[in-house]
Amino acid sequence: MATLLKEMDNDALVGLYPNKKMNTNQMTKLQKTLCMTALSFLPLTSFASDWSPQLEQARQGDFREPLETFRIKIPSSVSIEVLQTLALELDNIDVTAMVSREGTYALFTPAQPLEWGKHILRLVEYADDGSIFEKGFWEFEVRRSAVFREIDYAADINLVASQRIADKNLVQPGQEEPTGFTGQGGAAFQGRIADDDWQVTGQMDLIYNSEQEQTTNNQEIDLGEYLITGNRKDTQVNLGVHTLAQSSLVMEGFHRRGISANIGFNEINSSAAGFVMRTNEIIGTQNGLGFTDSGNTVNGVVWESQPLEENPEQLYVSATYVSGKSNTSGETVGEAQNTQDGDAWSLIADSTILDQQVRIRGEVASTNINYTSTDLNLNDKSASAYSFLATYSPLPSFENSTFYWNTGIETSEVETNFISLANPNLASDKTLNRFFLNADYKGISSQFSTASEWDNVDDDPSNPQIKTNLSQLTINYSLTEQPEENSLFDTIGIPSISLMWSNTSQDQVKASTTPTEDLDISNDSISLTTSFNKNTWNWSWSYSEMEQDNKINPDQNSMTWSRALNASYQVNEKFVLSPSLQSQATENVFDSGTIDTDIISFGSQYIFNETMNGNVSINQSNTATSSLSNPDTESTSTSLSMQFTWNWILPKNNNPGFDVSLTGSYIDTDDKFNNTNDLETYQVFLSLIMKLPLSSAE
Amino acid sequence: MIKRILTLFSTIFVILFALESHATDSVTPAASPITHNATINTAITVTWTIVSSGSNNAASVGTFESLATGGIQLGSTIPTTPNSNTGVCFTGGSGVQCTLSETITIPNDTLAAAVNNGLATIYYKRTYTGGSPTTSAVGVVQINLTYTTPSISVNPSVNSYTVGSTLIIPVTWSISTFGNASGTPTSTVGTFKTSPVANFGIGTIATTINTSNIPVTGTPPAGASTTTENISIPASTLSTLQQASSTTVYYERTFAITTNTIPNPFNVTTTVQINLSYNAPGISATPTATSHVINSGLTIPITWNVSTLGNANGTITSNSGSFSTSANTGNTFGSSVNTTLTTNSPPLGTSGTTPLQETLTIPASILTTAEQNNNHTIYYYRDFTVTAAGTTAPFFVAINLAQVNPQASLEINRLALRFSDNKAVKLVQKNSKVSVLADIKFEGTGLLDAVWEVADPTSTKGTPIYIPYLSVRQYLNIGGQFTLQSPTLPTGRNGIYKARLRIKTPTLSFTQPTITYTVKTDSKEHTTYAIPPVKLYSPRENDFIKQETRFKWYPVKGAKAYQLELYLPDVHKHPKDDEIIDESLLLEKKPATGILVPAKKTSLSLGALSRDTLRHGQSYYWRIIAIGNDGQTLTTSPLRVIRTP
Repeated sequence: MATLLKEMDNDALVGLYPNKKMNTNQMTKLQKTLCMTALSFLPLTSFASDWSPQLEQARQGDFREPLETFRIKIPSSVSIEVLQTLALELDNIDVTAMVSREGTYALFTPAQPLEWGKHILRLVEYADDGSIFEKGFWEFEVRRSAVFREIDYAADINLVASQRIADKNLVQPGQEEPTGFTGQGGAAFQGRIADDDWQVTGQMDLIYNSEQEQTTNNQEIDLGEYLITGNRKDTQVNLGVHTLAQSSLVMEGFHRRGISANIGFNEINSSAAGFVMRTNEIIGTQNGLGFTDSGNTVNGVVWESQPLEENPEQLYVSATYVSGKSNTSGETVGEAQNTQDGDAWSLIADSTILDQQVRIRGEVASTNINYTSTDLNLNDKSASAYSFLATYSPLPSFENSTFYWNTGIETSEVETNFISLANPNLASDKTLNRFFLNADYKGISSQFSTASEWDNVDDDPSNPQIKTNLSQLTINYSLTEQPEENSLFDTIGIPSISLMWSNTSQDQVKASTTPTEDLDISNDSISLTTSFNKNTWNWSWSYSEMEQDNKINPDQNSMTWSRALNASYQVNEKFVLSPSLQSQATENVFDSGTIDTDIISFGSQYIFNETMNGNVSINQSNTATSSLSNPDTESTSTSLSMQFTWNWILPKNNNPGFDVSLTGSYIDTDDKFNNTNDLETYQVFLSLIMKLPLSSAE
Repeated sequence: MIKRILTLFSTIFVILFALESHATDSVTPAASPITHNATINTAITVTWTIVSSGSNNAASVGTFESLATGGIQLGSTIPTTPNSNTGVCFTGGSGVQCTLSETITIPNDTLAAAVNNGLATIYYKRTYTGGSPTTSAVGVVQINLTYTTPSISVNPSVNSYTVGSTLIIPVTWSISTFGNASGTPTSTVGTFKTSPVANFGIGTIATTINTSNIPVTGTPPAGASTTTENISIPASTLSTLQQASSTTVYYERTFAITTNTIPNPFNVTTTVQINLSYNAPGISATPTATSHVINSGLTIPITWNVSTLGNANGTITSNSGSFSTSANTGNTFGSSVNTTLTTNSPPLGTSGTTPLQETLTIPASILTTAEQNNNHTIYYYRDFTVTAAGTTAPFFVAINLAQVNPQASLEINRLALRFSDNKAVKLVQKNSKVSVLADIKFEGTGLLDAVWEVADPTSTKGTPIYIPYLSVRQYLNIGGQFTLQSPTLPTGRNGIYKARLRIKTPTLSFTQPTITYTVKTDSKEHTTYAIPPVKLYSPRENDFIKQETRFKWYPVKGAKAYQLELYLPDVHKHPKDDEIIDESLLLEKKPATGILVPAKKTSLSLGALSRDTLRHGQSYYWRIIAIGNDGQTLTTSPLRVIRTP
């Protein structure tokens, strides 16, 4: 009982009458007394007062407006003690603290416009024993009109016209001078039309750049991403760039252009999805639909089901099949070109049981691929994979426990030629066993994991087998209490500290029949990150060491140190400074070589007044190498960029606004040993920026 | 009658005049013509023979004229009366013949006037006048002028010049004069010619040089005036010569000499012969030896370094590479790699090393042959032809073949950039959070040295200037795949940003990808004040929700209310317990629970109503959003994970 009372903290106790908030201690004592009394006589009985609230009808009758105030009539007979136990919840958000009183009405006006569609408002009463009694439950709809629930459009258009007013050394001698007058811009369009059981939404980004050579497709105006989604009851169709939510060995984070459809079967708590997607990333209007180039598409189906109606979390199953072709690399992807075609399937079972303390997940998958790259030619190679995960998250062993932990094991194997077009980043030829343990005790949390991994899964005698052991430990600490005034942490900021250690050792456990060099490498890294926060400023410092210990070729041993110091200081509401400093140094044994990189940057932002602001960034990067086997190098680049903006005319809905901006960038590269690499270049632009918001909103 | 009388008188007058003329003295020179060296300008002796018509003869001044009869006077006169050999020429009677001789030196102004009028012959005249009767006779001496002109020589007159190696050719110009010149001979330009008699030059050295002062002016002996010059052949001249396949060039200079008695200025010209030769270009490669894992699909980056000694002119080209089982061309086998590597050579006259990058893909047939013959090391070689400089010797790169070589040098064979929400292109609001993920597949072992770089709108309006943002080093061993996350990238300026992970080591065998995002201002944002994200105070990342857990944050100026939101990801969508959740997908869902409080509060605890909705053993994501007076979201906090016991 004491626990339950404690749950009703200050916020909850305020209830619907914040102005009549009772002293917390008094309330606690009162409630404790009441509850103890109740416990004495009716230990298993909960009480709720017998009354009913009434939600006043909306102005429009059948539907409400987005910001319309809710007026709930509460009988005057309800005592103040009961009123203190009431809570109002809108769409799972407890809004009690924003409720006001007007006579016998409780009033609540949404802080933000409610989305179009159906919503749920609940009024509940806390019983003395902590039980929750629903006193009122209202489902209502927010609509634009009686005809359509909603029909909205919006566009946000930015256009920047720039004139180069100064420059130096932008091109090499003999090259064509860059354009003096340039234009850039971006526009986001979105629209939505919906009624009770269907909706169509669309969004599209357009990107404009007059410098065609800088664009992906050499087009001044190009399509960014777009997506049109249609829903009707349990069916959804997506056309455009979207992510297929399924995550498995054969499909992971598959964000591509194409079409997909999903049908839900609520009666069996299942869904089915089919898709035809572009195999690789694509940008712009070329292959606009994403599935018209049959040589570069992936298509497939996904079936998902949670067949246990009472406890759906106890069993989730899914089956996935994908098939596709590819002969190009995607945008933003650099790799040697290859061609591949094949198919893949996956079966997943996932269960959380024993009061959700235990989770067990298993997956089997297989691929069949015809893969041709520059040297590698796999004709119809089949491969399989599996993964298994078990976690245990025990309930706290006793009330007010300050010790929490969970643990788990993971094992997986991906055969050598396991290649799925919908999961190009999956590393193949790996067998993995992993154990992890997470614990939290009195503000200090730690995560530990250790794993062993083997390659050459197919045990090819012509290849060696490498075993990799990976162990990681992370310890975090953050001060969660307000530091005492004038204490150390009150002065330097509230600390958050993280210490991380990891070790990776790799050993050749089986040699190949063909000559290969032995391998026995160990990598250790340790890092300490600290950050200190105050309201108007913060700073952080980090230090890390990485060491490579090559026991076969000690000449390859190497050590890297990294240090970083970052800060941000808001001098006042107009002026922000953000300096940073980072340094990395690497020492190689084999040629006594060193690589040093230092980056210093300094950012500042100043708001002159309501219509003028500016920011300046300065950056200096220095990289120096020295070794016995190669000539020394040292290069320093110093850069400066700045932007000053005058908000000339503020935009309004359906009316453009204009800014005038002066921007400049400068970089000076100085090669200490080869002055043919020296370069000093800058460019300055005067820009006119148009911002045009368009929307159906009034 | 009168007419007849006039005719008669006229006839008589003519007869008398004719008789009088017949009585005039005659003068003839002793010798005519006289050839005279005007350069030396020694004295000339002229002997006049006079046949007198009477006594009291007199001689006029001697003059120099351009023609024997008439003409213009040239320079000064000779006033002196010639001496009489016989003494009777001026006192004797009619019919007396005498001879007179005089020694004269032609005045310099006479010689100069003759030169200026282009005369090779001048005439010296004297007029003798008899006293009674008074008659005159003109004696004329023809003087043919000759000149001894200054001469020039150069030493050495024949030189060797190795293009690219020889920087200068020192020569000495010497001008011999014969007393008729003065001052400092000057040459304003030197000219290169393909032959000594060519009319047109193929290059010049526009440097004025002066020889030393001419030592003696006037009479002999003559002197020599000298100067030295370091000749450097211009690149354009070398280029012309190479195009003409010419190995000899002539360098000509003309010196202008100030003279008094010969054409002024007087020009002397001579040429230096320069014989050209060329050094053959050199070659090396990096690496000189490498390892290649068969069937890895990897390519081998090779940098060929062709060194030229200033004699290159045009391109450096290799049309193919070949494989050999040893480091000589005699054991070449298999098919060639018919990939042409070409680039421009350093400019003529500039020595340098030119790198040519090759991404070698070993043909499967080569690998098969090597495997069949048990060749664990094969050699790949190329030679390069440099325009005008010749062809290099072949250079061999040793390639050690292995089925798997975990110790092979690190190579990146895939680098894919994507935003954290998997998008490849992004249109984002100003000051929003953007980070990029780099998916990297690699082979071999080594240190990845890379740097995240960003070009912001201050440069992407024109030529992107990438600024280093964060240096990254990571030891990568034996091949595999990993994902590198960028720091939060800047979004504080409107316009186009370009980001890339520039890999400094190892060298990529493919084009470095970049990713673009466009930052736009929310047009509805009517303030220039940047509102930073809500700063969270507690609970910290990965904390467990406890009864006493309070959510604390720092206040946001202008907020009317704050809303705590807790989101629950769909656990079954994630095969691993520690997987990074896609925040954008997470936020598409409605929150599992939350609390709305007025802005005066900056902390709260979950009430029973909210806690009742939480599920055991889950990881929730929570955030605070700050709501403005108009109901707009002013700003939000980053997401943090909180766990339920």
